This record gives sequence, structure tokens and C-alpha cells, in this order.
Amino acid sequence: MWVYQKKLQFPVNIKRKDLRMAKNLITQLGGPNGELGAALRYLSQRYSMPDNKGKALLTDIGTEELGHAEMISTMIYQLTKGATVNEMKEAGLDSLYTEHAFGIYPTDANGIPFSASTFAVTGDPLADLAEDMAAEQKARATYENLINLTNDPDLLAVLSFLRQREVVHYQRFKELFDEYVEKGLQ
Amino acid sequence: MNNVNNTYYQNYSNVNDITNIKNEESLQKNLTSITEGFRRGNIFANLYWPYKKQTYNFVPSNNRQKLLLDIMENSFYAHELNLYLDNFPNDREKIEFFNKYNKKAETLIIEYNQKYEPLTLSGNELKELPWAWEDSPWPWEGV
Repeated sequence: MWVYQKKLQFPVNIKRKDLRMAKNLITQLGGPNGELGAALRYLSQRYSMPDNKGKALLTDIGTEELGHAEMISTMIYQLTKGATVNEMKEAGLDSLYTEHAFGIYPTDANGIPFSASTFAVTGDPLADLAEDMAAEQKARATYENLINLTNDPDLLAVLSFLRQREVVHYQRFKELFDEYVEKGLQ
Repeated sequence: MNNVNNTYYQNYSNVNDITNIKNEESLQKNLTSITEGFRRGNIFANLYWPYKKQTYNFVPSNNRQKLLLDIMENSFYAHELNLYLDNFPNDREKIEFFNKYNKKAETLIIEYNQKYEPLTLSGNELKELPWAWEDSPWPWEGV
């Protein structure tokens, strides 16, 4: 089971409303390389890991990703806070407003709802870990695109932190992958 | 693309120039200080891979924010060691470090629970009315 702590992993305090960035950023909640998919990918794959090391790593990284989904949702909440219907319209978010008003719903940047088809569980630890390594690199690349789209330091601090987490997670998955190859574990 | 990659790897190898290593952590040359590691999102100097400007300062505006930031920094340090130890379970020095920062984070959380509002329900006795768990700010609303 999980226990909730009423805090974020890293501070999110965005003071400037930016509806366009909210629309772009939502893909890191519900898009193909997003944090929700990352959490579900690792927490689903862990059952077929061949040893306790793999079960521990996927559990612990999957748990961190749940915290990242909360951070992305927080950013979107703060980026859209106090927006009027007219502002939503002007920013091209009227279709989003129609479906969800000011609620936060996991979609990609084009409004396509989150889907478990964005990740795989093959039951083969090498195949799963290879996917996890790719997923971390794709998420890193997406964070760089988002960093290129804003100058707001409040936003950049969090995006940079989250991007760097992809770098560390990639390294941990690679270490495990290499060890399993060496041991011939499958 | 080549230019982008060159920039990455250049930064990657120059990383020690901007590492702020404090006394005790200097025993562990590979580890940053807790504050630096937290700002970077990575406590391992040899794994740090920056993109553009990567670190930002936080200036807490009151004691509550300062304590919360301390909790986040210590928790993050322990979490990073947790992931490392999952892969390298026989590193005694890192286990000692994990215990130290994990304990520190727990102590600070209890202090925060007592001084301000509950961050956790476990190990936290709620005596006041109304029920303090719902009567305190949620993380997305800022503290």
C-alpha cells in the first residue's frame, strides 16, 4: 500500500498565469511520455522482475513517478488559476474548457485522454527494462522541449528538476539491465 | 544535432567545477551537498547532465517554508540513496548515509507536524477540532 505525505517532492510556486503552457505541459501528466504512464508502467512491470533488486527498483521509481504526476498537476493548477472563460477562449483552450472546465484531466497536449496503450508489460525483464530506459529518455526530451517554450523561472526550476530525474532513473534502469544481461537472467 | 550533443557532453565533463561539496560529504567525492543535489534533482556529481540553466535558488519567505524545504532536501537525499542502494545493496557507507538523512527527514517532519500542520497522519496525534488533516493547505495550493 501507499501512504500519503501532504507535500510535494520539490516546491512548485508558479505566480504567472500561462494558459498556453498549461496546455503544453499537460502531456507530462497524461501523454505518451508522461508521469502517470511512467508510474503505471513501473508499478505494473515489477511483478515479473526476476529478483528482489528489480522488484525494489521498479517499486521505488514507480512511487516517485506518482509524486511527479502530482507536481505536474500542481503546475497546471497554478498556471490556470484565476483564468476567465474569455482568457481560455483567447488561448485556444475553449475545447478543453468545454470538456473539463477548470478541472485537471490527464491528456496529451492535443487533448487525447491518457491510455495504458502508451506503455507495455511484456513479462520479460530485459524487454521491460529496455522500454523503461527509452521511456526515461523520451520524457527527458519532452522536458527539454517544454524548457524551450518558457522563460518563467518558476516553471524552469521544476522542469529542470523533473528532467534531471529522468537522467538518474535512466542510469538506474541501465545498471539493472546490464546486470541482468551479464547474469543471463530473464 | 551534433552541436546539441557536444554541448551536453562538454557540460557533463565540466560538472565538478560547479559542485559545492561540504565537509562531511567530501568523504563521498561523488555526492553533492544536500542543497545542491536537491536544486539539481541529482545528488550524484558523475551522473549530472545539465540542460541550459539547471539550478535555481529558493528563498523561503517564512520559517514554515524553510522547515518544509529542509524536509524536502533531506527526504530527497535519502530517496536518491534509496534508488542507488536498490542496485548496489552492499555499499555500507551509502547505507549509513541513507540512515542519517532518512532519520533527519523523519525528525523534521515530526517537528513540522507539531509546529504547523500535519504532513503525515502516521506518528501524528491530532487533538484539535476541526480535524487538522483536512483543515491545512494542500500541496498544489502552496504553503
